[in-house]
Amino acid sequence: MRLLRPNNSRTGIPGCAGGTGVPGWVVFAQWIRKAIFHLSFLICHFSLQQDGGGLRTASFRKGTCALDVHGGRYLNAAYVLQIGRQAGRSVLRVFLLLAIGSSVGTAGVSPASSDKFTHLTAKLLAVRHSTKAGETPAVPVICASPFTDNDFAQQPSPSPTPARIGKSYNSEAPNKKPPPPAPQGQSPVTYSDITASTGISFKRAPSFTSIKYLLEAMGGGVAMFDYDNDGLMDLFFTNGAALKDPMPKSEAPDKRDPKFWNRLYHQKADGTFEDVTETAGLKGSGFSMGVAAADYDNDRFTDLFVTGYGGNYLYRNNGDGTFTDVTKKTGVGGSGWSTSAAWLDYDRDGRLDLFVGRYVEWDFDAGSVYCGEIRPGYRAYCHPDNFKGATNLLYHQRADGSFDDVSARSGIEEPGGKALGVGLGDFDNDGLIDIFVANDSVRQSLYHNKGDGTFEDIAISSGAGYDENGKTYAGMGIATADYDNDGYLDLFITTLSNETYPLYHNDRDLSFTYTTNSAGVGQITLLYSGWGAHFIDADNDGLRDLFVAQSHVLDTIEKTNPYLKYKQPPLLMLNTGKGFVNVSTSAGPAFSNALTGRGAAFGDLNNDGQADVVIASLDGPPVVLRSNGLKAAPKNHWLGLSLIGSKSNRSGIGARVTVTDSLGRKQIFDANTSGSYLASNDPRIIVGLGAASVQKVEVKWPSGVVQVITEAQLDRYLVVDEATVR
Amino acid sequence: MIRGKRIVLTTLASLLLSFSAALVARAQDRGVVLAGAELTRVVPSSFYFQGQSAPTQIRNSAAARFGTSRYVIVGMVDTSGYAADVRAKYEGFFITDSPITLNGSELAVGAYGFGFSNDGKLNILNLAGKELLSVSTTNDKSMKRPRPLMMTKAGDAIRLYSGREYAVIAAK
Repeated sequence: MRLLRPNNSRTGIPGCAGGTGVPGWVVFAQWIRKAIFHLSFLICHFSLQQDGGGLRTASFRKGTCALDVHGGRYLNAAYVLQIGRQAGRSVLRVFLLLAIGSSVGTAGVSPASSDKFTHLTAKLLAVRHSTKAGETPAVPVICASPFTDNDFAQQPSPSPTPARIGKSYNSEAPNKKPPPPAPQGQSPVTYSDITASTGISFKRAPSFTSIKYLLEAMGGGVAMFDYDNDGLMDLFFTNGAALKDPMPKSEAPDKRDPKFWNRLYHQKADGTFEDVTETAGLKGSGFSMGVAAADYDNDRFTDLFVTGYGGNYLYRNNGDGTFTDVTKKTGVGGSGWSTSAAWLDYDRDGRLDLFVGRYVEWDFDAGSVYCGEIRPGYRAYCHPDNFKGATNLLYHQRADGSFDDVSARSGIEEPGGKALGVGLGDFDNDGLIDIFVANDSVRQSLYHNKGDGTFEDIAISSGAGYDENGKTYAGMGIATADYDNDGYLDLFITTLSNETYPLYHNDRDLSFTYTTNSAGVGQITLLYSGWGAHFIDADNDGLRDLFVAQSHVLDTIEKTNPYLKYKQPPLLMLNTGKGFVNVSTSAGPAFSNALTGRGAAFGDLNNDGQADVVIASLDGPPVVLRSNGLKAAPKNHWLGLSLIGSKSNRSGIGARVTVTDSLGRKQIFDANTSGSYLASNDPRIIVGLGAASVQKVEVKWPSGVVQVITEAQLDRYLVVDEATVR
Repeated sequence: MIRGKRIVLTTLASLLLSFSAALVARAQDRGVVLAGAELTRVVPSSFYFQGQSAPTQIRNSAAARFGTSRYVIVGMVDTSGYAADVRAKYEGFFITDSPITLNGSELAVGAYGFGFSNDGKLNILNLAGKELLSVSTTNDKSMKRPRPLMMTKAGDAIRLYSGREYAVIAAK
C-alpha cells in the first residue's frame, strides 16, 4: 500500500502558519487529509481516556494508529486505523481487535494474538504516548503536529524484524497499580556522601553499545581492603573495557585506554585517597567484573583476585605497594564470564581456596540477540533465559601456592546455575564453611560442605532455592548474618523489581523459612531492584540492619513501566527486632540520590566503629557514604575485631566469632570478605553492643583452635592473633 | 453334602480370585513418583512444540509410573527461543503413554505442551499450540517446599505441582 503524503509545512489550516502561495483546492484537500490523520490520532487518545486500565499505550505511524492491548480482567479492545491509498483510491481501514482476559504485549517478535495486529504493531515507531492509570493523556494540538513528510512517505520499515529475537526482562506495567510503599521509619543514624572530598576521581566506563550487550549492564565491583597494612582501608574498583559497536566475536574487550583501567586508591592519613593504580600495576586486562581480597599466600599482605569476562586475574601483593600478576603461575585464570568470587578454606588446611561464580555461556555473537520491543529506543538488555548457565569454579590451593581446579570432584560444577552473588557461612554450625550462590532467574544454590572435600547442593531441600511460592527470581547480591541473634546464619538476597528481596530465616536444621513478608521486607522492596547488599549494624544496637545498592537493570524500564525507576537510591532497612523498617529518607540526603548502583563494599573507612559504604556505579563515579553514627547521644558501644590466623589461614576466613555481652546476649559472626555483589568487604568485624559491655569473645578458628577473650575494651579494635593461644 | 462343599469352595475361590484381580488392577493404577536414575531415564533431552525443539530442564522435570509400565512425564522446557505469545502459554512438555485423567477430565495417550496460567488453570496444548484441555488447579497453602514443578503422591493418584498450584493425575 502506498501511503498518503500530506505537506505539514504548508497546511493552510486556519490559525496555523504556512499555506501561502498554494491553490485553494489543494489546501482544502490537504486539510481534509490531515484532518483524517489527526482524527485517527485523537481516536487513539480518546480510547485511552475511556479505558479503565486495560489499554495502555498508543502509537501512531505511517497512517496507522494502534493501541497495545494488555492483559487483565477487562474486555480490552484495540483499534488499528490504517489510512492509505490502494488502486488509486484513498482507503480507510479499521481493524478492531478484541481480547478478553488475554495477555497481549508488544515485546518480542510476535506479541499479539492477531497476525494483522502483530504486523502493524511491529511497524510502530517514533511517536509513543504512555498514560498512567487515572491520568489524562496529552492530546497534541493539530498545529503542533508530531508528523513530518517522512512519516507518511513510502519507505521500508526503519525497524526491520531482527534476525534473532530474544527475551528481555519483564518490563510491562502491571494491570493493577502496585500497593503503596511501606511507611518510612525514623533512622537513628545518618550517612554523609563524602565522595567529593575523598579525592576519588574514578568514573566507571561500561562501554554502552547500541547492541545492548548484557555485559554492559552488570558491572562494576569494589573492594575495601588494606593493601599496605597501614591500618586504613583502601579501595579498588573494577572497570569495563572498550567494546566495538557491534563487537566481533573474535575480538577481546580493550582496556588500554586509561578510562577503562581498574583503579586502586590508597587512603592517606587525612582520609583522602590517592590513585596508585599504575604504581601498583593494577590497570588490569579485559572487561572486569568482581573482586575478592584476601591474603592467599599467608605473607601478611592482602592479595587481589579480579574476575571478568574472558578470564580472571590473581594479583599477588608484593608488600611494597606493587602487585604481580600470578594468574598463569597459580592456574586460576578460568574462562567465560565470571562474576563474584570468594576466598575460603573449605578443607581447613590453613591455605585459602577460591570459589568463582560464573554467570552464563555468552559471547558477543550470542549476546547480540535482539531483546525488547522492536522500535528505536526500546531495545533492552536480554534476560539470562536466553543463555545457558555457566558452571562455577572451585580452586583448591596446593602447598606450593598454585591451585587445583576441583570444580567437578567437589560437586559444585553444576551447569544449571547463573551465578551473580556469592556468600559464605557455616549455616549448620558444623564448623565447615558452606557456600550460597545467588543465581539469576533460576534456582539458587546452597552448597553444603560435607567435610570430605565435597559439597552437596541442598537448595531445594533447604527451602532456599525458590521463593515461598516455588518460583525462581533474579538473585543478584547476597548477605549472610544472624539477623535475629538465634545463633544461626540467615540469608538475604537482592532481586529485580516485582520480586521482592528474599529474606530466609535459618530454622537450624539446614532448612530455611521465607520471611520476606512477615519481616516487612516484601512491602519495602517490591518496586526496587537490588545489587550489592550487606547486613550492617548501622546503629550498633546489636541487631544487624540491611543496606542495599539499587538500580533497575533495564535503562528502558521507565518507558514501559510507569511505576519503576531505572536509577534508584540506596536502601537502608533498620532491624527493629520484630522486623525491618525502611528508614532511608531520614538517613541523609544520600538516600534521595538515585544511582545506577551495582557492587557495594562495606567496612570502616575511618576506624570509628561505624560501618561505612562504598557503592560502585554502573556508569559513573562511585559513592562513598560515611556513617555519622547515631543522631542522638549517647553513642552505642562497639567492639572491632581484627583476626590474624597462624595455624589457620592468616586472613582468619572461616573463623566463627561469638560475642557475649554484659547482658548475656550473644551474637555470632563468620569472618570473611565475600558477599554483596562483585565486592569484597573489610575483613574486620564490628560488633554493636548498644549500652552493654563485652563479657566474652570466643573465636573458633578453622584449625579447630578455640580462643576466648574476657577482657576487651569497648569502642576500639582488638587484634585477635591465633598464635597467642597457648 | 460333598457337592454343597464344592459349591461353597468354588464360590470362595471365585470371590478370592475376583478380589485378587481387583487388587492387581488397583495396584496397576497406583501412581509412584519417580526419582534419580528412574527419572532421568524417561525425561527427554529436548521436546518439539510449535515449530521448534527446545532443551528440557531435568532439574524441573517429574515423572510418575502407574502400575508397572504406564508413565506420565512432565518437565519444563527452555522456552527462550519462542516468541512471547508462545512463552505466555507454554511452559513445558506433558507425555503420557496411557490414558489418564487430569482432575477427572480424560487425556488420551500422547505428547503435549502444558502451561499453568495465573488465573489458576492447567492448560494442555497439542503440539501445534492449540488448547485441548483446561482444568482448574488447587492452591496448596500448606505446601512447605514449593518448587517450579514437582509431583507428589496423593493416595493412588499423583499431584502435579507448579509452585503451590496443583492438578491431580490419575490412571484411567
